[in-house]
Amino acid sequence: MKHTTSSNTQIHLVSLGVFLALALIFSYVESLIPFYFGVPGMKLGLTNAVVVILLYLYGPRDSFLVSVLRILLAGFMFGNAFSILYSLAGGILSFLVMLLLVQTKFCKMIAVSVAGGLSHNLGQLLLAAVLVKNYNILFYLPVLMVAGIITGLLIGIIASAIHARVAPLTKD
Amino acid sequence: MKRSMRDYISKRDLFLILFLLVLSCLFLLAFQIYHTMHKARGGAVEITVDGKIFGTYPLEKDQVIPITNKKGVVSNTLTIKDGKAYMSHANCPDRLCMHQGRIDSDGQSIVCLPNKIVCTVHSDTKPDMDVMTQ
Repeated sequence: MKHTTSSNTQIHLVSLGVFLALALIFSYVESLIPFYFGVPGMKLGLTNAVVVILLYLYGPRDSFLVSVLRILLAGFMFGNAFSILYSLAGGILSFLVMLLLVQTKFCKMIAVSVAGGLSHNLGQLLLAAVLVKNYNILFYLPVLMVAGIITGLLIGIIASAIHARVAPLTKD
Repeated sequence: MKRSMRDYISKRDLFLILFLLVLSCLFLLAFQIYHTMHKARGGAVEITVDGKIFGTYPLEKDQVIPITNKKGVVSNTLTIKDGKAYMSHANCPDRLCMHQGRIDSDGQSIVCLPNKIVCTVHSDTKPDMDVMTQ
């Protein structure tokens, strides 16, 4: 019995590592795509798919861990201190919003991802406004909100399609 | 195994997404209305570096403004031409500020996050004397 438990923990740990690697690859792919909409720092948010799926598969603790580690590692590899700060602000706010929606079972994955995408952009923009000490950049807010909804919708569709296929495999 | 749309998205999800979409569209509309109401062209462009005012320059005069950082190194160059201002040079790797276009109406801005530079158009600010005589 004891043997089974420890091997389950090991499988769990290895799966988290694989998910983290996947999130990092998504970060890298994103940094290659010049996805530019006239607003600086806008991204597709592919890594959010991993965070959403993990939130459903393994729960908040593991999802948060992978999300933060992904931001730190990707920041050191492809970004700088500032991009880490902006990503952290967006990542943590969107994680909290998504956690709330998932825990209260308010809505399904697609809507969770939409709310996540929107709050990610919101968090980044608010931190940028505070750091640059200029509130005019809040003019980008509506554009970023719409952008976050659209990218969140796409990511949500992808994430729920993946989750439906992956979830049966992780059942112990 | 067949899956239906209902497994992925419920009515409440659709309502939430629509609500957020309508909310941001309202924001967009409000900002647009605010923008057109305050669309006094011309005026001056104010440059701030790290939150401190670097200088204010009138849009009427064509000029090239080298923006220096704390170390005295020219990090960006703002060019004013035909009443519009644009970032003509930046030393950061992504150069997003150079793609932010030409600004000429009140409230419009160009932001360079790596160098912490914000250039904003103010139509009611008169360029201050000591900058003009510089």
